[in-house]
Order: sequence, then structure tokens, then C-alpha cells
Amino acid sequence: MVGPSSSHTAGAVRIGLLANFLFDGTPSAAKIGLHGSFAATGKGHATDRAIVAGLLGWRPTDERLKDALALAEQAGLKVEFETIDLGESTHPNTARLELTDAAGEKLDMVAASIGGGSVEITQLDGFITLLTGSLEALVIWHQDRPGFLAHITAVLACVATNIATIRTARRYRGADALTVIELDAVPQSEVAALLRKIDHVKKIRVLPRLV
Amino acid sequence: MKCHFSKALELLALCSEHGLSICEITIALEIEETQETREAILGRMIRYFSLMRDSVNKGLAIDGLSPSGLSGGDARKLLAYSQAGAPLFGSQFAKTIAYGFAVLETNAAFGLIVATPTAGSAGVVPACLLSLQETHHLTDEQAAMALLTAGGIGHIIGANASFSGAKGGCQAEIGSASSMAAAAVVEALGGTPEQAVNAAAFSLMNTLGLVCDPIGGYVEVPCVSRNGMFAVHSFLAATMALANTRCVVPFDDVVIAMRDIGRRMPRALKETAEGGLAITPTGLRFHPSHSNISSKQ
Repeated sequence: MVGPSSSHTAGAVRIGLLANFLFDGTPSAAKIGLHGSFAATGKGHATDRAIVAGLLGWRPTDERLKDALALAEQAGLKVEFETIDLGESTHPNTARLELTDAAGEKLDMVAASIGGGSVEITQLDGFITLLTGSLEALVIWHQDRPGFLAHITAVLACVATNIATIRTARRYRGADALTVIELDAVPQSEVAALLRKIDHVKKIRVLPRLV
Repeated sequence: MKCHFSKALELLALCSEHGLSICEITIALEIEETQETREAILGRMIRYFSLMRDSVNKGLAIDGLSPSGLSGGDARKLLAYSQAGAPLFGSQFAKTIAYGFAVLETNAAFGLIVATPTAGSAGVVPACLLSLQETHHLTDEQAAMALLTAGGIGHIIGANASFSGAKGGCQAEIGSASSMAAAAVVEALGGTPEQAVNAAAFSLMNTLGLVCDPIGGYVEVPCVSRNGMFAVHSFLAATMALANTRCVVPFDDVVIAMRDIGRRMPRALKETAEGGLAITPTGLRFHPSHSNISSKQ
């Protein structure tokens, strides 16, 4: 890795990178809120540059990291930082990323860097979830409907892809929902196309394992 | 082979059941978790070891100051001292310290390092293994195996506590790194799994309570010197274990103690630059809120 701290720098790059995967590319604007130790020592630890490096799709080993803010501007990514307080029970190294682009695409993500470069996404578009990036993952935005998960898991069963974890959260009965599935193998490319055909699916992202 | 463990007690039971070292059990676990071959895993570790060596060599050559002005050039001074007339306790002592410094100086200069287990503690394991390679002629493959021993110990700490300075103070970072290094040294020298785990326990129990109060929020003071010093600390713990001194508190208990102390440690002393060295008159000159430093950035 590159940069002073595994949690404040390498973990922060990974948070940005997961956001890049979930956004399916680099956004045109990012509002980044830093909580706790991220806010207190983020400057010295280059947390700001690290998250931006991840948003640009760079890996934690990328030696351009120290120039990330300038290079983001050149790449058309407008970044704004703020200090936030998510409460005493929130992990001290937590960031909130609010991403947008010209096409109206939006993502709101809260993630913690829990030490040694490991990370956890704890909220996605307001849904409580848990996604670590340590396994391949499917993230599905959908409607809460009876039998929905059965369709998803049936497709995965057909291609014999093992589900390691699965979490669904919804706003209220019948409303928007989010399902995060961690897998033990890379899903074949046609799997995402098949899943997209399932009724009530709004958006799917296939996330590679972070290495 | 079933090889999952999250406690040292379980790890030692697996070692004894299969007649294998910590390193071999860790390889089996890694094969199980990643589905990679043994060769691929060892190859990856040899690459990491080579990156570690590069980060040491790069740091030993640093002559100027880091962007913050807080560190730089000291690994080089230690190396020069180790090569001078009569260095204290012989040349290897100062050299080991120099290697620990070197990785953190490379890190402060935004060079490539391997977080073992974190960036702020990345000097300890490389310093110990490179030093041991010089004194005991370890091959790179043997060093890679030692990294896996370190990984086995780290796996236990990660499963039961944390490596994060923001969560547990420096004890979680340098304490973890030095217990991983101590166990790695013991196994590389042919010690038993029990001795390796005891070395980890000695190392961690004598690091408990250490706070994270870096000046200005930079990972430099005291982190650079701490990495040099705790490489030596790991050798002390390994020496005690190899001599079979009594380890009264088992490693698993020490890890829980570390977690407990981390939870009770005030927030000001956990990587917030709001206490300790960071708020001394000297520390405040480098504080993010101080005008001199913000104009430098």
C-alpha cells in the first residue's frame, strides 16, 4: 500500500473504490463527510486524498495517491469535504460519501475502515447493510415483493455459485429494498444479465473482490 | 483438512493434532479460504517479502525530510552508526532498529509498503525478518513461511480484537505487529508452536496500554522510532520464549485484555491528535488547526 495509515489511507482508498464499483465509475461530484478519527487526523493521514483516489478507480498501491486531489480536478471530479458526527456508537474511522453525476445517477454510502485496510459498508442509500469487499458480491436495488429472493437464489443455484452471506433491507412493506449477496466465486458474466430480467429489479452491480 | 481457528488454543490444538507448525496450519487455512494453491500462496508471500525489502532499502537511502518535516534521514543515521567503530551490542542491533525506521520513513514519503498488519506498524515484521535473514541466512522462502506464522497470529488478534489505532490505541497496532513478528522469529528459528504463541503473548502483554497520539496526526512522531524500537522488542519476546520462561497469561487472554483496554482508552488518545504528544507545546505547532502547518500543505 501507499500512504501513512492502513486504516486512514489504504482502507480509505478501498472505501472510495467500493463506491466507484457501486457507482459503476467515477462520479462528477462527491460530497465526503469524515467522522471521528477520520475527521481529526484525516489530513495528516491523507484520508481525503485516499478516498478520492478510490473514487478515481485507483488501487491502494497506486503511487499517484499524494496527487489525487489535483488529478481528480483534471478528471472532472468535483470534491467537497465536511466534518460530520455520526454519534459515539459509530466506528471512529467512518466516512459518508454522497455521489452524483450529470446523468442524475446518485449513491449515498456510509463505510468504516476497521483496521489493517479492512473496510465495511454499513449503509447504502439509507439501507442498513454490511459489505466488506472481501468476497465477490451482488448488490441489488429492487422492490419488496413476495418470492423475489427465490428468483435471485434460483439463478445462482443454476450456475452453482455458493452464497456466503445474504442481507435484505427495505424501507417498508412493498417499498424499495436492497439486497446484498456475498459469493464464493466470480459470477459468470451472463448471470447479471439474467438477474436483470427478474421482475422488480431496479439496478444490479456485480462487485469484484478487493485485493 | 479442517483448519479453522480463531483462538491460540485452537491453533495449538491443530498444530499438535497434525504435528504441524503455526505456519503450516495458516497455509492450510489460507488454501481453504482462498482456494489458491500452496505454491500461489507462498509466491504471494515471497512477493510481499521482496516489497518489504524494497521499502527498507528505499528508507535507508532517504536523506531529506518528509512533507511534514517531522521525519526523514534517521534510518540512514542508524545504519551509519551500525557500521561505525563499536556500535552498542554489535552491528545487528542498530541495523534492526534502522530497518524499522526505514519502512516508516518510506511510508511518510508516500512510498510503497506492506501493511503488516497496519501502515503505522509496518516496520516491525520486515525489520525482524530481514535482520534474521542476515544473521541466520534464511532463504526468501523461509522468510515467506515466517510471514505466514505472523499471519496466523494476526488472524487471532483480528478475530478477537482490532488492529486499528483509532479503535484500540497503539497497542492494537505496534502490539499486534510485534507479537506477530515475535512468533515469526521463533518459528523461523525452529521453535515450537507453543514457544511461538508465548513469544506473541510476551510481546503483546508488554505493549498493553500504549496510546496513539501522533503529532499533527502524521504517522511519524512517535511512530517512526517506535517501529525501530519494537522490532527489538519482538526479539526480546522471542528470546524469552525460546528460553522457555514462564508465560503465566495465555495469548488468548492477553488479546482480550488488549481489546478491553482499547475500549476503555479515552478517545483523545486513539488517533485523534487530541491528547498526549499531539497536544504538547511542540505537538501543537504541527497540529492541523495550526496556521503554519496548514500553509505548508
